[in-house]
Formats: sequence, C-alpha cells, structure tokens
Amino acid sequence: MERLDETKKFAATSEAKGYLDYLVNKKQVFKRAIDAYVFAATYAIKQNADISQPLSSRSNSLVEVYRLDNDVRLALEAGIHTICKRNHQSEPQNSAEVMKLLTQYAETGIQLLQQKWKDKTSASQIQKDIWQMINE
Amino acid sequence: MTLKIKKIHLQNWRCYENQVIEFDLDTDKNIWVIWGLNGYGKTSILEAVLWCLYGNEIVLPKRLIKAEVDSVEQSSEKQGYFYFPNVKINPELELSVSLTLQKEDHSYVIGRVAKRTKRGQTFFAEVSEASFNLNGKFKADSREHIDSLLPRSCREFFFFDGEKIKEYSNITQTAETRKAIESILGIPEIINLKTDAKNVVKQFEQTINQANSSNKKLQNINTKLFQLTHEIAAKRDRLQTAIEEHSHEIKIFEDVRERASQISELRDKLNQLRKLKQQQLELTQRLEKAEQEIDKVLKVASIPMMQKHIKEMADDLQTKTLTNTRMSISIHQLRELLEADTCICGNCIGEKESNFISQHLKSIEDAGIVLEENSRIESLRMDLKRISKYKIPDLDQLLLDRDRFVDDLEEIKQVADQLKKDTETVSEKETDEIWRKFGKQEQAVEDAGQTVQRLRNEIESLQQQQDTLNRQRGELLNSDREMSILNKQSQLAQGLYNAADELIDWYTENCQQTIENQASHFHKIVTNKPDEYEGIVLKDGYNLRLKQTNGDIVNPQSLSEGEKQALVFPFIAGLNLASGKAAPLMIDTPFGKLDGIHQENIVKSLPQIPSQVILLATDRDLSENILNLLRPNIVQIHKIKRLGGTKDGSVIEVEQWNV
Repeated sequence: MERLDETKKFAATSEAKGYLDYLVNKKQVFKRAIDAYVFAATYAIKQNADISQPLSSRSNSLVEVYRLDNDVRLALEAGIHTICKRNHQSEPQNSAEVMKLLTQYAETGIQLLQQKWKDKTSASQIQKDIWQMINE
Repeated sequence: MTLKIKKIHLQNWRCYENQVIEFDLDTDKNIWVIWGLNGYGKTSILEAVLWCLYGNEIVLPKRLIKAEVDSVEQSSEKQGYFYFPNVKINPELELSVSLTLQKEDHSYVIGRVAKRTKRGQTFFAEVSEASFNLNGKFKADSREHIDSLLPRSCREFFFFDGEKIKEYSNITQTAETRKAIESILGIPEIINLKTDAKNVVKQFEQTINQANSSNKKLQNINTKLFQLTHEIAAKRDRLQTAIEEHSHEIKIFEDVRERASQISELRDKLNQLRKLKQQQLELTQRLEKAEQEIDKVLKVASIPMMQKHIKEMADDLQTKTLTNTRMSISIHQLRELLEADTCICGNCIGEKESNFISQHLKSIEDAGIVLEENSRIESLRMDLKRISKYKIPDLDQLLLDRDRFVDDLEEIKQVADQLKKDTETVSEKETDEIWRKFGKQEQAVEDAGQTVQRLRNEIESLQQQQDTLNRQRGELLNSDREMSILNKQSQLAQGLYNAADELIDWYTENCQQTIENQASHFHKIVTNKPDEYEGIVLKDGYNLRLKQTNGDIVNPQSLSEGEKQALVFPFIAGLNLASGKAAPLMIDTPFGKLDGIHQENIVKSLPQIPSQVILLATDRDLSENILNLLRPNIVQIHKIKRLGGTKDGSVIEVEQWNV
C-alpha cells in the first residue's frame, strides 16, 4: 500500500477553498480547513463518487501532510487503495498518485457537501448531519 | 364662603389696551374658560392677576419697562409690559390692573398702577402700592388685607401653570409654605388667642404682685411662680424646637430607610449577579470543553467512515503477507535441499543447476526484500486492524450538551444584563455608607424622641409645682375679697391659655385629617390606579404622601410624572375644604403633559372642587372630547382674539353658546 509523503502539502481549488473557509470561519463547523478537506474526501470515497471531472482552477496550499492525524491519514490511504481496487482501477504506485487521487476525491466531496448542506443554516445542523453520515 | 373673581380690568397691560373680563357669578356652576391660541395673551392674564395682588414679587419694575423705546424698530424690544402701540404715542404711559373679588356679600376691589417715567435719558417704571377697597371703602395696609384673602406664600396653589404642576408635590415641604397653609387653615388666629391669654395672665400677675408686695409669704410664692412660669415657657420653647428636630430627624430617617431599602434590594440583585457570573464562567468552561470534544470527533470522523475500506485493506495486506511468508519458506527449503546430500526425488541436482539456484537465492537474500516488505506490510496491517476497531465518541450527545450550554449561557446573559442594568446605580461603597447612616439616623431619631419625652415630663412636673403654688397662693389671696377675684380671673386667664394650647394641637390635627380625607376622595377620582392607592396622607406637617392599599407609604418623588401631577388637584381641593374659605383656582395650560386618562379624570373632578375654576387654555388643552365633558359645568367661554391690521394687540369676547 502506497502512502502519502509527509512533507507534501494538501491543496484545494479556489472554489473548494472558498467553501472550506465558509465552513471554518463563517459557520465554525470545523476548526481547521484540513479537517473539512479530508472529511470531504472521505465522504466522496464512501459514496464512490465520480472523480473524472477535471479540476477547474489553480490550487491553494493548505497544510503539510504530517499535520494530519496518523490514523486518519492511514484510513484515507486505505480508502484510496480500496476504492481503486473496487473500481477495478490500478492502485496508486507512489505517494504522488495517492495525493492526486485524494485531491480529486476531496474536491468532488466538497462539491457534494456544498450541495447537501445548502439548506443547513447553522453549524449545529451540519454537525448533526455529519454524525448521521458517520453512522450510515 | 367661596372667594370668586368677578372682574379683571387691564389697561395698557401687555397686549391688552383696555380690557374688562367679567365673570358671571350668578350660577351654580364653577368653571370658566379663557381660550386663546399660543401667544394671544393667556399667560398675560394670569400674570396680571398675580402682579395686581403681589406686585414686584411677580414682575420686577425693570422687567415691566424693558428698553422698548430705545430702538423701536426691533420686535424683541416689545418685551415690556406696557401696551406697545400706546407707548409709541405716549412714552409716559400708565398701566393698571384692577381685580374685583366677591365673597358672600363682601366685595373687594384691588388695584395696582405702574407709570413710565423718564429720568435723564432712561425710562423707569414707578409701581404703586396696591389699593384695597372693601365694600367701597378704602383700607390702609393693603398687603395685610391681600394676605388675609390670598396668602402670597400659597399663591402657587391658586394660580398656577399646569406645565409645572408636577413640581408642586414638593412645595408643601418648605417651612414657608407650611406657615402659609396654617394661615389658610386659620391656625395663627388661635395662636394669637394663646398669646393674648398669656399677656392677660401676665397683667394679672403684675397687679397681684403690686398689691401684695408687703405680704412676704405671698411674694415668695409669686417669685417662685414667676420663675416657674418662665421656666415652663422656656421649656415649652425648647420642646417645640425638640419636636421640630424630632420630625426633621424622622424625615431624614425615612429618606435613609427608603434608600437603604432600595439598596438592600439592589444588594440582593448584586449577589444574584455575582452567582450568575460564576455560573456563566463554569458554563463557558464546559462549553469550551464540549467544543474541543466535538472538534476531536470531527478530526477523526474519516476513521469510522472508512471502516469497511480499512478492513478490506487489512485483509488484502494479510494475503500479501502470507504470500511473502510462503515465498520465504520456499527459499529456506530450497537452501536446505541444495545443502542436503541426497535428494527427496532420488535424482541428484547437477552442479550446474545447483550453482544457478544458489546464485539466485543469494541475490534474493542479499536484497532482503522479502523479509523487509513483509515486516512493513505486517506493521501496516496491524495499524489498520487497530483503527478498524476505533470507537468514536457519541457526537450526538456532545452536540446536545453543547447546544444546551449555549442556551443556558444566553439565558444567564439576559438575566445578568438586566441585573447589571438594575444595579449600575449602586456601588459597594454606597451600600456600606447607607447602612452606617441608617444606624446613625435610627439612633438620632431615638435620641430626639427621648429629648421630647424628657421635656414633656419636665414640663408636667413644673406644671404640678405651679398648680401647688397656685393653690397655696389662692388660699392666701382668698382672705382678701379683691385679691380673690383677681386670683380667680388670673386662673381663668391661665385656663384659657392652656385651652388655646390644646386647641392648637387639636385643630391642626383635625385640619390635617380633613385635608387627608377630602384629598383622598378627590385622588380616587383623579388617579388612573384607584385600586392601588388608599389615599393621600400628610406626614410631618403637610408633606404629601400616597398610601397604597397594602399599607406602604409612597414618597411622591418615586411616582411617575403623571401621578405627581394627579396629586396636586386633590390636595388643593382638600385644603380649600379644610379651610372653609375656598380661593379661586386659575390654571394656565391646565393639563400640562398629562395623559388622556388623567385629563379625563381631572375634568370629572373639577366640578366637585369647591372653588371658582378659571382655565386658561388652547385647543391642545381642551380637545373636543375634553370640552364636551366639561361643557355642562362651564359658565362662560371667553375667547381671546387678535386685532388685525396695524393694531398690535388682543381683545377678549364672551362666546355665545348654548349649553
């Protein structure tokens, strides 16, 4: 199983960054943008979302991989490999490929969440929905 | 016994050139209205009446004159009291106000004149002393006569501005007004009776003393009696002072107690606020903790969401580990085979084949790939197995707790904000100070009360000595017939003096009681909260207080503006009834800033006031609704009209209307 390079940085498109800022600064659902980012990626993997859509704009750096909790990182890496296998696609052969796939899932996940939460007005409503998503 | 204004005659007074206002007194009704728009001259009429009665106390001569002729073009210079168009024709103009009053069959005419006089280049107003005529006969000492009819210190009770009426609830607290109220009530007349009796006693004493100067024993008794009388008089003076001091201390004590009670309530609130702040702090800490817990859950949310994927990966890795292990075992077995002497199949491996296998095994072993990879995969698999069992905290419960803390905090904040607002006027320093004052003042009241009681006891004891000596002197004097008569007369005068003294106390109390009863009756009509107040009480003389139905006494200071205003009419009505000589009531802008309910209530009470009521009003004071309520009790409406054209003045006409 290929792992992420701890020294590399996560990155998001401007649109995705905008929604991450909305969740962190305006709604205060998450404390850090990276937590919202990996949650979005997880959601997209779990939904086996279509990641074929190309990324639309230049990316914005978030934080280095090592700032993420080790167990969370491991879970994400396992998710990436498993979903590739389930979809009969070749599994990533190096950390760069893992990062690329993770970025694609995160971007797709952010779009899905944006759609899903468009009617939620408070942080509390969104957080309750996250709890439901965890238990689904 | 009602004193009424029959006629007001104004000559060259402000905007009136020559105006007679006659009040038709041939009626049972009691309300007259003088109606005019703002600036038409209503207040000028009230001022004229007051100036006629009290002269310079109302308008100073220099205010009468102003400098209107120095530069006639400027309108601001028309502020003088002389009718301006005539001043331009005759600079040495004379103005006058005359007032005709009627009480039963008596007619009083009071007049006052002022004249513009030039001294050098400047004009001055020469104001005459008021003239006073009773039933057509001139009376000297006009001031005294006017004061007996309408005491100047009480003028605010009879001629007043509705805009300022709220201030009147405090007026009764001045010593000057107290004297004036007593004057209206006739108390000074009883005091005069007491003084007269005292003088008579003194004269008898002197006569008796002269007649008996030879009688040594009698002289001795007389000397002692003289000393005792003086001592008693001095003690009585001291008693009076002590009673006043006692009342004063009680008043201060009540004020302090009221403030202390307010502060006590505020102190409870301060304690409550302190507790709330503590709760607020604790809740904030719990909220922060809950937020941190929620954040922790959200950070690791990916782990439970990826649980199936993690298990799948772990299983996959386990397969890889097994493959590698099998490969490792195979290498080991091949090594053993190469090193064995015999082959299990019975055919020995040739040297060439053996070298080939050995070479490849060596390169695999040298790279250590199989073992290393195996170890890495196993480590990953173990980690995946561990996190696949990850138990996430109950986020739902954490969110519920968090939201509850937020709600609780908001609720506490609202209560705390209100308490903070309520208590912002009080400081810890004042709290301590007021309780110190409370204790000190309580002691002062007790001390003053003890002084009063001690003086009363001393006076009683001295009076007993006086009685004994009087008896002894009586016995001595009775031996002589003339002396006996003188003695009896002296004793009668002494009895009259004592009776007058008791009468003053009784009469004052009785009058206060009457004022209280009548004022309470009117207050019930006027107030918009008749169920909350039992009535008006007079404390420490004539200080107005309101008694609530629960027995609490309320200081007017704590009442709303409307309620303060609603106190004055009842008090004046009560005062008039208690005095038995109702004075006319002239009210400018009668309803001030009263609300609709108070206005209606006062209108309903006006016909019951035993006085002539003259309202100086605009349409703002007397709306159609109020006027309709009043109409059945209105005798006449006098309308002020402005003269058009070049005439700068006003005239008053009686409106023709059908009741």
